Amino acid sequence: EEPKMMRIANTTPEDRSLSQALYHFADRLEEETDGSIHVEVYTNSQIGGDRELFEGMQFNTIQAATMSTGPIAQFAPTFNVLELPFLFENESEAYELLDGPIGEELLLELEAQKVVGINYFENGFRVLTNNVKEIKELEDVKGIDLRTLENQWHMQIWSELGANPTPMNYSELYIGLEQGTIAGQENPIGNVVNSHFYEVQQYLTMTNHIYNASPFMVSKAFWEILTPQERQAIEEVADEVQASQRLANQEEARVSRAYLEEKGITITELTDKERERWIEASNPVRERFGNQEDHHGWVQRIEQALQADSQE
Amino acid sequence: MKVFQLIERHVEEVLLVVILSTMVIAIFLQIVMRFVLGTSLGWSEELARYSFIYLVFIGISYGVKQEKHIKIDTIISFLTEKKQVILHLIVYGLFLLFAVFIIIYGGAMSMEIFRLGQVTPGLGIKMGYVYMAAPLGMVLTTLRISQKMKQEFEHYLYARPYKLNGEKNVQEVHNEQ
Amino acid sequence: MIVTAVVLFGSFASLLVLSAPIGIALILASLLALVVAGNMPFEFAIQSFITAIDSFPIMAVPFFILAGELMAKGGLSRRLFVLAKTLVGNFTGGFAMAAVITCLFFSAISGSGPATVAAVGGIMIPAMIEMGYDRRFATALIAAAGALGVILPPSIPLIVYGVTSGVSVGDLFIAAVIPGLIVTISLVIYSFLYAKVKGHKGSKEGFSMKEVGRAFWDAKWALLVPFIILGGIYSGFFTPTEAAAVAVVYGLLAGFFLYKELKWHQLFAILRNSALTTATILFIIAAATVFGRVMTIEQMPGQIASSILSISDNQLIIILLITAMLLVVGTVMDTTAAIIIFTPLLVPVGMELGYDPIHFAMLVVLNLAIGFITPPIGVNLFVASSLSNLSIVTVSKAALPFVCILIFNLLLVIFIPQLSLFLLDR
Ligand code: NA
Ligand code: NA
Repeated sequence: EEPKMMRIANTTPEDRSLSQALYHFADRLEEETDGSIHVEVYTNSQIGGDRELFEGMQFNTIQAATMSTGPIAQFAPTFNVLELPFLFENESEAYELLDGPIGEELLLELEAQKVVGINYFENGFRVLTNNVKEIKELEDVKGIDLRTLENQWHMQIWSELGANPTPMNYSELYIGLEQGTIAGQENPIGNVVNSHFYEVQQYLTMTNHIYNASPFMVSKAFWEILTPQERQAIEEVADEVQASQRLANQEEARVSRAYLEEKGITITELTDKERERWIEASNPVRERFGNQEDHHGWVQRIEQALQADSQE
Repeated sequence: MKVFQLIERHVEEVLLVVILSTMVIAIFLQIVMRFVLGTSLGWSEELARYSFIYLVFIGISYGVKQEKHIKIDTIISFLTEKKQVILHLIVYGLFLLFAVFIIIYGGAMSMEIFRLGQVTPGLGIKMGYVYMAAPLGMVLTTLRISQKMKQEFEHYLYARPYKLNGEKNVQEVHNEQ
Repeated sequence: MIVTAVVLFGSFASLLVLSAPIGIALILASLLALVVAGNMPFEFAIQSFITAIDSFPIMAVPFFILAGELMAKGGLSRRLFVLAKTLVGNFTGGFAMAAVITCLFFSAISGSGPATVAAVGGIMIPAMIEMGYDRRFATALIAAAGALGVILPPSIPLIVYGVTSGVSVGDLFIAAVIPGLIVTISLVIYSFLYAKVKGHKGSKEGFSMKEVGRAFWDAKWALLVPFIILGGIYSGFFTPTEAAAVAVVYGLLAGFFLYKELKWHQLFAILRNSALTTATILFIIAAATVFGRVMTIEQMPGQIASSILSISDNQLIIILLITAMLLVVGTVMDTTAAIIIFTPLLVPVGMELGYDPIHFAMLVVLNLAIGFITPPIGVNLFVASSLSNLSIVTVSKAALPFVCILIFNLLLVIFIPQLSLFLLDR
């Protein structure tokens, strides 16, 4: 019998842990299913950007993908809750929440979008870079022309923190930074290295303002033609890959940081006290978000869960 | 009836002019706002990009009307006139196939995207509206191709000269004389 | 895979011969291939078609086409022409050489090939024609010089190459300067020789400082255009794509209020024509994206690359085979897409052959940049031919000498690594 074709894709460069994880997944799944599923991997936007990949799963042109929660929120708005600033202090807090019942329930939101959420790979904490000045405290952000995603919550966060948020196309970001159309940008540290932004940026602040999870998702139409054994194999292999990818990603963040230091980038940590000020300054965004009807329950529940965890 | 004729004659032109103006204004406004407010609009680039999609699909229809689609017509120029007309009809038939394909599949696809409710991040509109550009543009294109096929067919039957504005046709009418 | 490939390329070629519009040929061939392969729904093609248009940088093309039309009707182009005539009109091939140099300047701010053609060609093609140059030569020259847009920094393909391969974008930008200048110089020399042979000796009026001064003063508002665009981008007021919109607005204002030659009733036709030109070009670009994506999902690039690399293990032959393969790829595939797909396949081979990563990058990008002027899918040819109202076949033929020049430049870059590495001290 013909093996079932499973095309999986992402938009991350080939050598990042997120892409390596897809190859790893492909090998392991073919092994586990004795070749009843044939996996083909397309990284680095070869067959489309994030939005296209999600639509691809909806129309079953692509059978699985990983992408950050930001673009997913365009389809399932609840995912915006993970775009709230300063939700997690560190990776383990994020794992605790995402791997628990709340994360599970969030993935169920994808069902209505004809997508099955399996688990959460990791893109990492977003950090802030710029070429104007070292940003040590909240006041330093004031007036910095900062490229953000074209996402109202991201823009609001940076407005509240005092920057001038300017959405700009990712394809023109390098040129924009080089020629000074904008002064800074914010992305996971892996992107700062991979997209070479460090070549045109001088200062990096470990703001860790948003933790970007990267859910691993499967097309529902594809899911439905699979045997129970095949589904189980996908879930098990995805969990296995999730574990190793997260470790690899953290290692990648460390290596990236060392690499940037070596390249002469000034790297700044926020003090705990300073971080409190940033959190406070961004509070209005959390409030505005929580007051939206669809989101109210989610913000509360996440905050409660996080508090419960930290009290343990 | 007059109104209908006016629409038939100018529908693409007017739409194209409005859309291209929108694109220029949106991007220019984005720059101005960055100057004035120090911060960009969150929707201008998106408006321009999505207008661009409409521009292309409506422009495809207008391209049929004006016979401006880029093609390689070396071989065809060696054929007799009757054979040329037959070939034109075949090519218009293929174009029609494409247009109808987009109307059916693209239409169904935009309906599904509407239903699933995807919203654009900047403008906050349903993504389905963007995808509708394809089937809508192809509905116009289908009409234009039908007109062309009718003309070609009549030309074939009665050797009736084209009453067109495209450069090539003037040439061909000229050849006939 | 083989059957699918035969269907894809076979039906594409047959449709072209039938004189189907190129966009139709591309998309119907892609759909037919999907039917034969039977493992990918049609939605994939429709989605790729639509999202190919959903691109910010490509928007510079309609804007520059529009700006060019506005400047032509508004009297800006004519004044620039008169100024150029007083400056270089007396020299053999003066206008052709000036056109190449203008592309060089514009390339230093734009990262796109077709945008460069649209921005420069709108003024320089009509100007060259008015000076008595062959319409075909003028069109093909600008199409070829437009490739400088992606060779000289900044360059979108170079950025994509950097991201795809991990090589420093800054280093790539520096490395590309000498190859870019070599291409420029080659085009200038060819223009000169062409003009010499064809007898474009320039006007006999002689150089007059007074004339220059008058033309300069008359063209002052038009001269602000490059000043605003170049200055605006370099001082960080706007991005290259945004600059195109600024050029439109300035062209409009200058035409209406400074030179007062533009009339309101002309505006409709100008916008309409620019939109039409844009749509016909984008139709092909979008269809070509679908075509390329179908190749990708049917795993053709990998197969092509591996079968070509298995032919020989002689270093020289391998690199020549890679060169030839990329030239062929460039005939149908968009430069950026080809970089994303072929770089991961070829870079390991290049490293094994002992190439410096930067040197290898130059040979890949310069090679694929030639694709902008090779038929059937040469975007620069499309833009240039729409500016001069020539058929694509005519322009493609006229572009042949330029393809040869660029291939010659490519061979120089391949065999003299210092051209890429000298400025980097490597
Ligand atoms: Na350039
Ligand atoms: Na080409």
